[in-house]
Amino acid sequence: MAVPVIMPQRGNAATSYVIAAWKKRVGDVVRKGDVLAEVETDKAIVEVESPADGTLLALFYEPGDEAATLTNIGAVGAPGEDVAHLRGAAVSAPAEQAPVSQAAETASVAAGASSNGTAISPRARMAAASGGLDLTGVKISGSGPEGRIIERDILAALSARPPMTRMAASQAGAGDLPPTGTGIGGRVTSADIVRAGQPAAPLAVSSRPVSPDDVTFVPMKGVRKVTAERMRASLQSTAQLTMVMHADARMLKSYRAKLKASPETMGLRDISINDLVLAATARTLVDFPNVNAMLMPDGIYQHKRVALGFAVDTPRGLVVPVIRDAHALSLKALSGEAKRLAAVAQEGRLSPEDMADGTFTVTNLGSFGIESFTPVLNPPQVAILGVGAIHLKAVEQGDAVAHVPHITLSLTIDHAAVDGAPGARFLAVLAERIKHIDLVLAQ
Amino acid sequence: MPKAILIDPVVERSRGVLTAPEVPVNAYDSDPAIEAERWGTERLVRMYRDMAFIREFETMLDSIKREGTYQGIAYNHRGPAHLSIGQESAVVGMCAALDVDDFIFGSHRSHGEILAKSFAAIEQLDEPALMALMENYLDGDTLRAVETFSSRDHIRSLATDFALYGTLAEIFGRYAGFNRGMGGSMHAFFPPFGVMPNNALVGGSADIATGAALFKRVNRRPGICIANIGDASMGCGPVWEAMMFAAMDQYRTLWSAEIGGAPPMLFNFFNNFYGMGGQPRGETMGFGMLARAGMGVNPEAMHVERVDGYNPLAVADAFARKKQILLEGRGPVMLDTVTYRFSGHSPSDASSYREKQEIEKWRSQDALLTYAHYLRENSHATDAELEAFTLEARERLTRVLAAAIDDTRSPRISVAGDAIGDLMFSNQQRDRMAEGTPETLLPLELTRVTQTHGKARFGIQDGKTLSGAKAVTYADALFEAMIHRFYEDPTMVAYGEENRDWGGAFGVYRGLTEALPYHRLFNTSISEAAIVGTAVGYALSGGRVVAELMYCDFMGRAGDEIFNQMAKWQSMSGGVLTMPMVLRVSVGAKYGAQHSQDWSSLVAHIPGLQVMFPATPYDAKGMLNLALRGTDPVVFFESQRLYSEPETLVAGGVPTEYYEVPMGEPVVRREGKDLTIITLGATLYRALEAARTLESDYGLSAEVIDARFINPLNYEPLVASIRKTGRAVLASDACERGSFLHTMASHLGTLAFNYLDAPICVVGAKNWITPPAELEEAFFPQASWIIQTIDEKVLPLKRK
Repeated sequence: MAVPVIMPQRGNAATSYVIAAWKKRVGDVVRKGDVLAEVETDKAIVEVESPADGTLLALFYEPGDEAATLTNIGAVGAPGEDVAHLRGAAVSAPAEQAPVSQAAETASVAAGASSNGTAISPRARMAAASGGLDLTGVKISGSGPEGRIIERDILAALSARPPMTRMAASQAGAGDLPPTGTGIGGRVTSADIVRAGQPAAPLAVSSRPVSPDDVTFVPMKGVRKVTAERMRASLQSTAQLTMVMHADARMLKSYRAKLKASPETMGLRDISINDLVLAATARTLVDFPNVNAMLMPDGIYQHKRVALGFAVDTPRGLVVPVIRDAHALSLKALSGEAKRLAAVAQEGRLSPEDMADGTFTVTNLGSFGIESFTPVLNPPQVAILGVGAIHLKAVEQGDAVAHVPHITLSLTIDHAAVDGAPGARFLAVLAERIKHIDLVLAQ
Repeated sequence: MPKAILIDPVVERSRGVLTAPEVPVNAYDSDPAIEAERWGTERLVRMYRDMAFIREFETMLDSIKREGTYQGIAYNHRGPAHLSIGQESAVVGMCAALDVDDFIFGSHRSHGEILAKSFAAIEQLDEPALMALMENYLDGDTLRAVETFSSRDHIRSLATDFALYGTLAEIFGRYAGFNRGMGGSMHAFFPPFGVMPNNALVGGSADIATGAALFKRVNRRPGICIANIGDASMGCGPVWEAMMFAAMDQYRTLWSAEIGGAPPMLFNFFNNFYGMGGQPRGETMGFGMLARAGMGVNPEAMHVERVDGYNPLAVADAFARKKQILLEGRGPVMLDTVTYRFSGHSPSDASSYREKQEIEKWRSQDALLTYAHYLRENSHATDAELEAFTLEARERLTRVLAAAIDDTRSPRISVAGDAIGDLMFSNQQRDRMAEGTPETLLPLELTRVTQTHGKARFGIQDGKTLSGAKAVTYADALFEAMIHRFYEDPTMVAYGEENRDWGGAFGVYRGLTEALPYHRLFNTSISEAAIVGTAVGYALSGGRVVAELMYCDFMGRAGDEIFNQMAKWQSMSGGVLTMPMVLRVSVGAKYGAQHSQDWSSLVAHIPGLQVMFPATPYDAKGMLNLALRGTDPVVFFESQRLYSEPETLVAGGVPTEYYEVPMGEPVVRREGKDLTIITLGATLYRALEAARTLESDYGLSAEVIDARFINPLNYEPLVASIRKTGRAVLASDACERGSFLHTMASHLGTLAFNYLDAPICVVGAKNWITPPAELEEAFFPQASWIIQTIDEKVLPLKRK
């Protein structure tokens, strides 16, 4: 029986190649493995070998013709065999490679049923449209009378999908979707959908081939993506100025030591240096509404109450939960709320409300030994305080020089809303209050 | 069945012979000297003038219809024109004996009656009254058109042109016609001259005129009422029903003498010997002479006479004598007024059913010739004077015709908007149709209303449903609405079968017998057509009336009166009439095929009817209150399954004080989110039962809405519910095929299409006759049917 000569497929993307030259002529006796043709792919010239011993019975294309991959381009068999049935036929094995009849699919949709021909209620159709569920090719089994697709079937199908942006939903169709996306709250974005249709291998930025072993691909999604957008926007849209000051940290340390030594029943042992700084900052901000402020398109909103954001490092990235009315809380209450929010943040369960509408942010890298840094503003807030490590600073004491522990305070302000001097005044007062943290807490 | 009338077997079984009074036939003796003295030359000559005017008017129409032209004016009149050429002397003679206060109701062939009565009224009214009447009618529209060719300098002449134009413009369907063009040739009328609706249904005026006569009697209004109907209408049931109604003994035996006796009702048969082409005498009837029928009605034989309608003075004499009898309360009266039409039934009629010779014989006795001869012979007028009238008529009609066909001076009603739709209802609210003190027998606080007010107003106490003896029922609630309006509106009357003493077959009127005099609440003959038809006449005369049909199934007996008369007269009058009439219709059950069908869908189809169907005592009172303050005809359905039920759905129960349910507004009886069930009538309770089962067994939350109105019906709340739930099942006791619910489903399907998750399904009674009471559960929709429909067609159900 005659055997077809098949246009090979190299790589996933190709759909057709060009016959460069035939190396044998019809009627030639060939052996399996003989080169029958050269075809030109997008990358190279590829040889097509005879699939069997026999006579070359037919060549279905002329040199220069383009032929789809995995279609028959010739036939080898016994002389006199009929090969007409092989002409133009495609390989049947990988069925999904068969050309899809786009027209047929469109027709079934136009007929007002779902693509698999079942009836669908107007309400279900509307629910699908508003949920962005493209019914083309969707396999939804209808639970209505006689298998009609009704609203609840669409709602079930929608809820089975990952959350999506509207744009993504409109493009999603019923294809494979990533279980989570890179959008806010893990929403699948339109970019995720495009990506899902592409090979899993990393996108080669360089023209050199890159081995998957050498690189780990991290999609820009979730917190990472939000952080990236926020930070870039912050630097592009604000006039940031950072000033640094050191605050005497002796009382801070001794107060912390006292708390740690307090009876367990008082529940004060877990209060950290950072909690003390947060308390001092919150209570100082009350006196500086120009720093405890938001710059909005229509002007500056100076807040009397302090909604104090504090940066938390989580496995998913940086998040900033907000302590409401931080200025009015006792130290113990403030510390408790910070601990609670940090724990929620670590679990990745912060709600948007937990992070919304902060009036000022504190970020602390002191535990890493960082002395000072330039924190990036969290717009529309106009200031952010970076807290550094406690270190010894040489201080003149009479004629002598003493090494006194100090904590570094880096204040970044948006010069668009706050000038340098007011910012400096705030920082100086804050440093003074940290120095006398015991008195501040007594207030 | 008043106890006052004893049926004595001795009397009833004793031997005897029944005799009838002699019926005078053409008994009038003409005496020119007496006639000259009685009428005077001027009136005698004016009778001729009126006859000549009518002859020319009909001749004009005949010419327009047959040749498309009159006096060189071309016009194509598409509508009908049933002419009365040959009958002029009869109508003019009749009107010579009538006053403006006397009402005539006519037929499809009544152009002559309209004009004769109008010409008589124009002579009887003084000029300021005439002018005011013309200025006020239809906002002066008719007068404005007339003044384009006629002057105020001569008010009676202006009024003559007004009558000619108003009639002709109406025949031609013009907006300035007497009825906005909505009545046309067969229905034109003009109440200010006592020309009441002319009716295109043969004999249709008999019961309506009787109702108007009842109105005059009950409300002590002057004048008599005349139904001018044809000899062939003697074969119509409603005509006989009207005669029975008009001849009831009770007016003289049971009603207070002070009321004045029987309604002043005159059945005048213009006997032209043809009903279209059929001949009542000798062919289609068996009375030999029409007047004989009067002998079968009452001992006075309706004072019937045959009158020679070809002598106007014989007719005038007869009407004058009969009017006196009627004013004395001794009616009703029947007249067999002999006349003849030279013209065909209509212009399409080739008179193939009669010999030319016959027409020639009558033409030789043409009243215009013989009466002209009489006037000449008795020196009342010269030939030239009489001929001048025809010339005058021709001259006037040429001007009238030119104006009536001129689209600028005589436009038609606008169909661009909904002007005709706006004429369908008068939409007024009137506490009383006339001022005055309502006549009652007891102060309100001594009537049964005190008893019903004392009952529990809500039917559930401590989780238990109270019996109808303890709590206000649906029937009690209807009673409270009725007695309220009876004590507010002096014109209000109610009647039907078994309304007095028995209190209605279902006790709704219990206690009204003691509270109201006979003339405000009475029993009628078993005459559904007359019950409804007289109510139509009562209402269009200006009184409020509640007629009752004991069973919905009896509507067929009053088909024309409900579908053509009650429904259409407001709009056919062009807004001139109101119809403050409520037809209470009791929807039966348990009584088999001819007493248990819900026919609400039949009236839903007829434009001009408001249709209500309360399902709870609160609505029964609030909706009847609404109906009884309006001025539109309401078919008010009640369910016999509900009469004895207390209020269990509306918190607070039935208020003792007056309130109304908002017109056309459906009400949500149970809120839900998964499915909407809309009901009409008593099916509500089965829908609620279904909703409870859906909740408990299938976890489905059904919203149940009681539509309670058929027309008008505000669809917005229904659509809002379906937008929420996406599904709707409609249920009522009406048979499924042709049910109004299909109309509702169609509207809802259109209005809420995108929100539908399933087709809107209708659950109705089976398309069978109603089987015996024991099998009714297989016929009327049950809760299980609703659930099954949901499962099969809307949303497959899963047991929780």
